[in-house]
Amino acid sequence: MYLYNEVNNNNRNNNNLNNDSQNKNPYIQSFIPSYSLDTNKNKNNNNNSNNDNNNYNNNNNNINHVNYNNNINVNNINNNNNNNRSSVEYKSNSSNVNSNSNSNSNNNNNFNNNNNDNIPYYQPYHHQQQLYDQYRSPPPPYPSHNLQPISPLPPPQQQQQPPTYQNNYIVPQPQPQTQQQSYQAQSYRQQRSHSLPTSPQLIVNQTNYNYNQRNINNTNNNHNTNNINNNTNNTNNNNNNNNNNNNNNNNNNNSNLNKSNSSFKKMSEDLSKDIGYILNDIYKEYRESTSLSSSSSSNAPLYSSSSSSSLNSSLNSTTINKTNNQLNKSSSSNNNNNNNNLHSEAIISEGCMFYNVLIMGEPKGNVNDNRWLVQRGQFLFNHLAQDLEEVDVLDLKRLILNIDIRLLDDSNSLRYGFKLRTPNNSIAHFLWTTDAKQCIMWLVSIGNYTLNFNQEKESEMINQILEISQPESKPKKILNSTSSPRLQSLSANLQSLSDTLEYSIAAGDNEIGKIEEIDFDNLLKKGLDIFKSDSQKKTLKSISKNLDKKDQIIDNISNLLLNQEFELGKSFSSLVFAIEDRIIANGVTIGDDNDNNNNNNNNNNNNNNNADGEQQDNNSRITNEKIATDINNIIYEYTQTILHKMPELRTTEQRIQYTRLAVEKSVYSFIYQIILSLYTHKYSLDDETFSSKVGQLLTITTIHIGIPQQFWLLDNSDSLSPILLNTSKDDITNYNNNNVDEEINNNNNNNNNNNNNNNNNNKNIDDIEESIPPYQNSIDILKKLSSFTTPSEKLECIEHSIDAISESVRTYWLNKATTTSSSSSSSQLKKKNNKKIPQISADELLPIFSYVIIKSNITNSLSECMFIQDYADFSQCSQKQQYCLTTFEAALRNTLDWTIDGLLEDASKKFDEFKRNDQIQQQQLQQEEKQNQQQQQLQQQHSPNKKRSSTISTSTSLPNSLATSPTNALSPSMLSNVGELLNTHKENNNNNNNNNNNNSNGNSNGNGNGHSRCNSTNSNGGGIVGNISHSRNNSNTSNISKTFSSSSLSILDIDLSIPTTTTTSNNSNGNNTLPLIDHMDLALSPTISTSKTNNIINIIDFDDLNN
Amino acid sequence: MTDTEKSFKVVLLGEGCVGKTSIVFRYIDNIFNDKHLMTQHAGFFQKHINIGGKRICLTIWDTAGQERFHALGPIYYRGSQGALVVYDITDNDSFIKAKNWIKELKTMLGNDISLCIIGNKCDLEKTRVIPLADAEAYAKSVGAIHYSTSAKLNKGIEELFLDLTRRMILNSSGVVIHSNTNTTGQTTNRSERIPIVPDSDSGNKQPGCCSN
Repeated sequence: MYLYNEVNNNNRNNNNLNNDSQNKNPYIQSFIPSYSLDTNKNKNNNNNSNNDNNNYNNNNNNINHVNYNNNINVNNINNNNNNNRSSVEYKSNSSNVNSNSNSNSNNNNNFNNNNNDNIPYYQPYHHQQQLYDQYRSPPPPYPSHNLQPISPLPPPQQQQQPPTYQNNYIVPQPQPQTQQQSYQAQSYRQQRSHSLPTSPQLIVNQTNYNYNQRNINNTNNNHNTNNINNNTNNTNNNNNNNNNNNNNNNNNNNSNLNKSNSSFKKMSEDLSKDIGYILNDIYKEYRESTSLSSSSSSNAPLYSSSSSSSLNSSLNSTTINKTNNQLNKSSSSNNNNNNNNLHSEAIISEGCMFYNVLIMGEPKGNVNDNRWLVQRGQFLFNHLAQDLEEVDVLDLKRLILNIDIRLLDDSNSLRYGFKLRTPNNSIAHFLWTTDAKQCIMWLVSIGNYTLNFNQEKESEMINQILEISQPESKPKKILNSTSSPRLQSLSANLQSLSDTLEYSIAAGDNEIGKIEEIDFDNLLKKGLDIFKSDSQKKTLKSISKNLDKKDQIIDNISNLLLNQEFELGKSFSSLVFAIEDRIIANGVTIGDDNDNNNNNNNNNNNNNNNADGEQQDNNSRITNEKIATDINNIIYEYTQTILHKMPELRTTEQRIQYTRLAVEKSVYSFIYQIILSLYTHKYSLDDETFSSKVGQLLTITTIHIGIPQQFWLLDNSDSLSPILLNTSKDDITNYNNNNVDEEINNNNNNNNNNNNNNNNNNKNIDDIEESIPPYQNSIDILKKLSSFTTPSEKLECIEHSIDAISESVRTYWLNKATTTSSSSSSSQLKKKNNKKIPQISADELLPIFSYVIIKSNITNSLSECMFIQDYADFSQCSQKQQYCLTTFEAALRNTLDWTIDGLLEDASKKFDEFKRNDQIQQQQLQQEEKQNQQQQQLQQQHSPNKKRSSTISTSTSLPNSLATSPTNALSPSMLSNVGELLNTHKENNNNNNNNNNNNSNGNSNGNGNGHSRCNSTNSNGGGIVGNISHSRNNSNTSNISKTFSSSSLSILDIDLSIPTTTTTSNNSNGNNTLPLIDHMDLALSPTISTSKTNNIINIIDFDDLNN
Repeated sequence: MTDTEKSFKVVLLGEGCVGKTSIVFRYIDNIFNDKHLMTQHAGFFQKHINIGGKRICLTIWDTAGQERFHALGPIYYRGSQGALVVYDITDNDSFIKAKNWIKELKTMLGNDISLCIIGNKCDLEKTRVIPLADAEAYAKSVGAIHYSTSAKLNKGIEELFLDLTRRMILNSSGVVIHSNTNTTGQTTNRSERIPIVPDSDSGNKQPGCCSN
């Protein structure tokens, strides 16, 4: 029944095929339906089977292309073989599934298989029986059977497999029989093809015939071609033979084919009824035989001896056997070719990786199996080890590749791998490794052959692996994760720090402020009270007690202003510091101006400044004026403040001046040094020029400066020193009494004059040989100019110096006048003396003051002058001080214009003028002589009374002549006259002594007449007459010789031209005439003309007396 | 000084030995009694007078007249309200010099200054070399007034100073009203810095001579 069912099923299928063939081309229909049927069957089956079949169909296509060119029959056989192979695998898979699930489903599956496909139904039956037998048997056979495709240990499987094959081997008949059966079938096939009738069965037969005819034709052709093919096959045989010698697998294949032929013989005997059915059976059997041979290929070592025996038997067979052998060889060669084609491709990559497989979501085998993988084109061969054969082959073109990276279970390390899965995820192969680079390498080599794979995906996958595997990326992530809390913590710390800083700053400010406030309050409360009660009040009291003492007032007021602890001092210092800053700022501009000015002066010889320089000069001047105004305003304000607080100081103008001076000193104590340094810097060149000029002119005297002789003050007078000492007192009194009325000044001056006269009288005896340079007092005062710090003090110094010049001249001439005057009590003489004192005009003052400046040798003279001009408050200064300052400036410039040569030239001119004046004076004297002669004539006409009047007139004429000629008083000749007067005075004293001697001599001689005459003349006239009478009465020669010698010396000293006249008079008158002439000359006039006139007068008088 | 008192600065200019100082001595000395001694300050003279009920302080600045001191003139005449230019009627060179001073004053100080030209030593009329008519004509041409004086004979001096003072009062009243002239003058004195320019006509130097 079982066999009948199988046959019926086969028949039905055949009928269907026949029907299809009737409608279409038989050849094509015969070919296509088999393929379509296969596809239909595959569709009815599971997807896995479809996939597997698809794979094998592809293989078939390749094979078909190869075999199609050779032989159609062979193609059919090959197709069948492939189908059988796939069915075998399917069965094994289904059995595995069935074993795990329900038995009913297994039965259903079996039923379906039987219904759909006869041949698979037949083979599964046998396979199921085997499985059933094994299942009934102990369990070990089943697991061993299950592990066959996956087992890592091939030897145990090989030991277990022989019983199965032995069973199969025992069941079929011996091989020679199978060969004979196959031969018979072929012969039967040929006989039936020739004996078929033309009935409906013949129609089928015709079709078969046509097919057969074609086959026949083919056969014929085949015969022809067979012959040819045989030839080619012979070549193939040679190759096969060679292959057989090298490869046992090929031999096994051949033997297996022989086995299938034997089975085919058995079936042919049973199927003799229907030719068509037989043919179909033949094709199917061929398929089965090919599948069996392929399945047995793995068991080659066990059947090597049998295959060799089969080969030997095949070689010994007949022609038919040869044909069969050829077929077998061709099939085996095809199989070998397939194997060679798979293995012949070059290895793209190979290596050891971990392998795991999931089938329907369930893992198979160990998860961490270590496998040796070899890629040859699209095929990936899975080896258990490098030296072992592949266990499985993966077609990459049917798989989809995905990245699979995950952590290992027992460690923190990563596994880098990929998954090769079927599109429906039924099967998934996992390949992985711990080395990322190896994973990338396999990815690159495998990825291109997989489904739905692009370069973009490849790059993405590689980047993923690299990103995860690179160690640099890990710390970044870690830092990113940890940095945020750190940053937050840092920011929090910063905030806390900033808060603490702010707090500390605030606290500090608060503390400092608090401290300051506390201290300030304490100072305000305590300190000011202390200051008010102690120092400040003491200073105020001291000022109030010493209102008329200049120094103490100045010191105390300075103490108030300069002590910053006081209210006034604090505000005062702030204002002064502000001005100081302005001065310093202006000083920079002044320095720039100075440089510009120097450059301009260097550029322009004509001293023409550029417009820029002028503007800068103007700007600096304007700024200086503003600063000076501010300083003066400060002085005024603080002076008023102090006067307001201390009304006692406002009582007198003098006290106000003292207060103002004190404030001015306080201000300039801060700023004087700064200003002076700026001015010395600005005018440094001018100061250097002036100092060098002064160095050249230090040796000059008053004679050289072009002033009249009366202002030279060069005579060595013993009385000058006390007078100069008195002048210092006069200066002080004049300064103190500036504001006194004129009358008071006059009275003081009178007193001073009296004091001076007294001092002169007293000190003439003490100071005899002292000599002082001219204008020394003025020089000493001016030397102190640099020591003063305020402009007003400097002006005062200059004023005193100029006043000292006037006083020097005055004291000099007063000293001269007092020596000539007989008594100081006479008012007329005072007037005369005053009138004789020369008055200094500007013509004399300027050169004299220049002389004083040179001798004082002031440092930085021009700077001092400019400082005073810029900063002096002229509204508070007197007009006289302004004149003195102007004279100071003029004198400085005059000194710069002086040269030694020029001064000497001027001196020589002055000497020439001196001579000219002498001539003029001589003319005047001649006129006077004429007048005297007229007077003498008048005297001759009168009696002795007339003589007296003549003597009186002659005595009075001398002072009149001096008084009426003021030019003579101012001329240098007057000085020589004064000298002569002094000499005559000394000689008069000597004469008096002589008179005394003469008196004693006369008395001793006893001449009464002579004595009486002498006495009478003395009482009546002057001393001159008396002297003459005494000389006549003397008889002693010694006295005469003495007088003669003295008179002769005096004559020689005066003038040498006179001796002739005197000698003649002596000769004519004897010894008595000489003394008369000498006395007359000395007493009356030093000049020659006057002496001659006097001699004539004396002679006449003597003669008259004698007569 | 009181606020109502006005002060005028008058400057004396002229060649040396023409009698500048003598004129001032005569003017100042004549006021004093013979019993009182004169207080002299070299080159500076100050006198208080009353004119028309106004108290005037007249300060007279004497200057050095030698040729070598000509360049120093601007130092003295800056800020002056009046000027007395003196020449000797017996010396033609002194008149030429006086003209130069007038020219310089007009250039530097303008028309605000009151100018007086004084021909001194009129007691020596016999030796006059400058006609009076010429001198008066020149004075009129420059806006000045000519005076003939003799310090020796005390002639024309009092009138001279009174007339000059009146003219200065008129000029000051025209410029400044109800203000302290002293302050104004001093301000001018400070702000005006007259540059000292060498005289171009100083080629012929006059020989030095005795004082006034």
